Amino acid sequence: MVALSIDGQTVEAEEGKSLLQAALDADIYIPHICSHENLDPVGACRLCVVEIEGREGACTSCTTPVQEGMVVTTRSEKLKQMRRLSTELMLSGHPSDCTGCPKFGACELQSLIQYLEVTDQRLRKRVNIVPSDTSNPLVMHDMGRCILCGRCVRACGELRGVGALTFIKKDGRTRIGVRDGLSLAEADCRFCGSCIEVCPTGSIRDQEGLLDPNMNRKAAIVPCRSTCPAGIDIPRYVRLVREGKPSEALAVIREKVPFPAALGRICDHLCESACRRSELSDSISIRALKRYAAEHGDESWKAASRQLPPTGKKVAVVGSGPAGLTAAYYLAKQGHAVTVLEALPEAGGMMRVGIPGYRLPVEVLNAEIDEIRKVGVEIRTSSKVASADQLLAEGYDAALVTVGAHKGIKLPTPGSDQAGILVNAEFLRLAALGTPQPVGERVVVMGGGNVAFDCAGVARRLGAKEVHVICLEARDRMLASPEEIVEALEEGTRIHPSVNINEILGKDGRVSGVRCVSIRSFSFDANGQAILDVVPDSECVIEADTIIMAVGQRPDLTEDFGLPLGRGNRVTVDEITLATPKPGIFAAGDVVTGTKSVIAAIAAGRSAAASIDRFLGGNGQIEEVLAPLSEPNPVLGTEASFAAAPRCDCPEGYDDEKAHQESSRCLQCDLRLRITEQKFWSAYSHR
Amino acid sequence: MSLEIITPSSGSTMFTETQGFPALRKALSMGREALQAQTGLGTDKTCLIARAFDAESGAAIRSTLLAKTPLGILEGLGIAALALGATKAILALATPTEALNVAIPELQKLLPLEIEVRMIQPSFMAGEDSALAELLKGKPAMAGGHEDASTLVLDAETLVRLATGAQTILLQVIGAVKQEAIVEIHAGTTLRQVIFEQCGGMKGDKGFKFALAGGPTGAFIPEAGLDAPASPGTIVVGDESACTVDMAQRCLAFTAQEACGRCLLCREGSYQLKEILSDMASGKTKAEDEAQIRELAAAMAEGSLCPVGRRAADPLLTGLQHFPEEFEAHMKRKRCPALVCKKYVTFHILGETCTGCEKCLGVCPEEAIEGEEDYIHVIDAKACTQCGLCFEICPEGAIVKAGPLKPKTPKEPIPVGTWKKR
Ligand code: SF4
Ligand code: SF4
Ligand code: SF4
Ligand code: SF4
Ligand code: SF4
Repeated sequence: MVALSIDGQTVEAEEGKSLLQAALDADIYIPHICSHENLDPVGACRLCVVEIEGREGACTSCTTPVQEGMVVTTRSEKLKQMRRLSTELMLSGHPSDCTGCPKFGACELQSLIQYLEVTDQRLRKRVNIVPSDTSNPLVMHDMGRCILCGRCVRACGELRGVGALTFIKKDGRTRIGVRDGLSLAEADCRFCGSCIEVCPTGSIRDQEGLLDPNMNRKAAIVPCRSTCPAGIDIPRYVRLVREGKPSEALAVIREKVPFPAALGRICDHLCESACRRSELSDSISIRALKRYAAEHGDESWKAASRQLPPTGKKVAVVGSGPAGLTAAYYLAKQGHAVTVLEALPEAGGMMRVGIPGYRLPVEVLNAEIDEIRKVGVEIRTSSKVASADQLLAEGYDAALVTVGAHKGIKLPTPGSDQAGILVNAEFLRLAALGTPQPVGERVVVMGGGNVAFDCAGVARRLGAKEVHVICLEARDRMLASPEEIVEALEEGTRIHPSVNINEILGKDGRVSGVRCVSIRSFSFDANGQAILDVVPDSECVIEADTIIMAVGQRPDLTEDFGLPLGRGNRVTVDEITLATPKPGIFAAGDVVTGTKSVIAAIAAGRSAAASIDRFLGGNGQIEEVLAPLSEPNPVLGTEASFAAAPRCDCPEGYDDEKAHQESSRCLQCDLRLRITEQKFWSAYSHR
Repeated sequence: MSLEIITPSSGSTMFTETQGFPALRKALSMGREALQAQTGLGTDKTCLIARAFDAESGAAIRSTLLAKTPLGILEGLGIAALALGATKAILALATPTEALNVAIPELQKLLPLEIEVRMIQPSFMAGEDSALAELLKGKPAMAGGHEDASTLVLDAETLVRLATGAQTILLQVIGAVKQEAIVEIHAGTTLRQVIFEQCGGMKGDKGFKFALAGGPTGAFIPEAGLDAPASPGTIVVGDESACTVDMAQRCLAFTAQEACGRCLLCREGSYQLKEILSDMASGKTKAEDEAQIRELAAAMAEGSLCPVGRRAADPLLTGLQHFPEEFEAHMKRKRCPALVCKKYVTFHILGETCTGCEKCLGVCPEEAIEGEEDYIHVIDAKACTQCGLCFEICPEGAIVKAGPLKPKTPKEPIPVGTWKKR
């Protein structure tokens, strides 16, 4: 440590630190723009000039290391004039008006102009018209606003080891651009966004519309993590997979969810749709990497897992689906005694009886449920709960209702009263429990969501020879995930999008087929009645002996349960606390939201656990850090054809090499958040 | 370029061709410390860069050395490497030099030195040490980056001096002298001697006005400075027909065009100065311009990252210093006393001298000249763009430039011989 005086204030600073940084750290503002805390200083903008006793002239504080006993003046008329001149020079080639600039209000230059009270009026204007380059889907260059501070070049070169950006001298003008006249992709840009992050002006920006305006900026920068309902730290675990540390990767996933293996197979992966990579080539196969981590990681995550001492409180969880088990798991770790009451003979809820075993093997699920038992959760199967009040009467301090939405909807289509008509939830449940409903040779599934495709797949496995999936939605609007659709097609299932079933045909009280029409579009009126735009003369008949209706599910609850039911038979709760009007009774998951995804249910389970913990006197703090928080390597280097690197899909699960290959495609969008945010002058007390 | 090379009449010269690396052999036998003491090269370096090309177009000192004594450069490089303990050397050239191909392996028999010959595209910035180092790394020639303390750039002239032991310096004199030449002189020789003795005096025996020493970022030397010892580098000599404002403007325009632009003050400062000068040469000077020149020049000199920016304002500042009347004439009275700055000049055809030869008629790109054979030609001042082509071509010297005082000339073509000046 050395001690020095800055504007009469004694400041301590580590040896080797720059004078500028020492001042800023001591809450003393010195204007600067080409210098950035994370980059090597250059001294090119001369805004940070200071006077040092015993030294001739003014020197740039960013390039001057602190010295014991230094006496520094950061404010004088002369320094102010020099700073103003520098700023005026920067402005001479800069647009005069900030209104309309996307960086307005977040621009370091704009703030500097304010601070130094300068305009572009005094010096001669320099025409600087550069069309903005929007050719890259992620990074846009608007070099008409560039002040050539060089931060981006240093960030790309020194910080990231990429060197895609450079100063370019052409026709007597210096500009910033991609090296050798290449596109970013050709120059092996890693699309880390660091250039965007360090640019003090609006010259390098995230491509228009890329950042989700409904998220705060930091969240929007890492869209995968912010889109994951449970907030799994995706870039972190993907990076750990790349580094060959599947156990740490698994621990990162485990920080947010108790079902890594299940999710690794069946998560509906909204994160992948949000992944920035998809703008370049294909999204990262985040789910498959999760499966890899779950399959290859060991149990080291348990070392840091929180287990609080017993609180003496008892909690009942009704329903052992993803929401219920997740809540049970975290509540038990908070020290509460948790009993899960499951009506069916098997635990797992929709993961067990909704998702077919060929997608989520029973052993995988059971192993994860066993981990939940290991933290002390008692699961009682075949234990139907008749009413909410009964639970409180039995001495539970709180109860969580997570019974899901297990009642399939049967449409009143003409002819739907005949034999041979099955309903999604029941069909899948009975099949999963080993007592399947028989199907004929020709099966028609009504509906276009994932459940419909699951029904189709199960029907085929039960012996159906010909399976048709018929839905109102157009092919590109179908609700099922693309993988499921592709898989079904591969199995030979025929898909009929944009088709309405007008009538179920029958013979002798048994289904014999469906009469359909093609439609151009459809909508629903206020009463939920479908309004169809029918293609004339498109009627046709598809023969079938079994019809499976897969058009939605609702909670299998009645008023008798004692909770107020709202639209779609769903339980109404307080949005934040998930509390029902009945004190001590909470509800979460599909029973509250209607059919959603497993990961949404898990996220709801976490919220419920936190809320119930608070209700029981805890602090509701269920967050854990299970993997060491290591500093990621900031140097990315170059990789040939990085931008185009294709996604690697592998139905049987990745081996080490494939996992490395896929995880290496990640842009590590979170890296740029590690770049220190630059504070404006107004944030310093001595300014 | 067939430039005359003028060597001193006595003592050793840099242009002696050497064979067999005698100086290097001697250095090898000396021991490093003695060699360091003798050469003044001390601090350890790993890599040496020999600058054997000329950065500015028109400059020729280094390329001439390379052509005349490539082995001298190479030998000097060997000696420097020995003194500095360098293991690697890069010879940066702009002209392929065959002699080196044979000589390098020869030298390497004496000294374990990795030598790489690199052909580069010469540019003004490549003349800057740090920019040259960047260029050789395959990056744009930008100065002011992080300097690598293990690398040292040495000039061909320095290297040849190491090899030959010559105590001379080299100048390249161009412009209004009788003999443009590369002049080798002993320290202490004055600029007056160089211009009036070595280079034979002023071309056309016109009066000397200035010497601009040090290229586009150099300084004006007026008549009064001629008796000081000349310093090495390029010298542009101007006679009384040259304008210092015009010259300074061209220097700043060049620097603004060529400077790498990494640092703000040099990049934008030289642009501002160039604009101020071009306004000065075209009657658009603003009241605050002179103060702005001083403010910008001082900031550039103090705050630029490399010598280019630190010296960029020198032509302008020394011009203002030594030729205040000429600058003031441009700024305050909108005149170019030397009749160089176009906006202050008009062209006229003297009725008494024009022979009606029609030569100017054919050359004027603006068709601003009216006339026919045996008629006195007339320039339409409104259409004339002051390009000066007619002025150059007229065999009779009938076309003249004028400032505010215009000669009387016919209003329209009249037969030759009928013009009477009243
Ligand atoms: S980059 Fe900054 S200073 Fe420039 S127009 Fe945008 S907001 Fe204003
Ligand atoms: S590698 Fe990163 S810093 Fe470099 S240009 Fe690409 S996004 Fe910007
Ligand atoms: S693009 Fe931004 S960071 Fe890069 S030099 Fe220009 S203003 Fe600086
Ligand atoms: S590239 Fe990586 S960090 Fe970025 S959104 Fe995709 S998975 Fe997340
Ligand atoms: S100066 Fe040029 S433009 Fe003017 S008259 Fe002569 S040739 Fe024509």
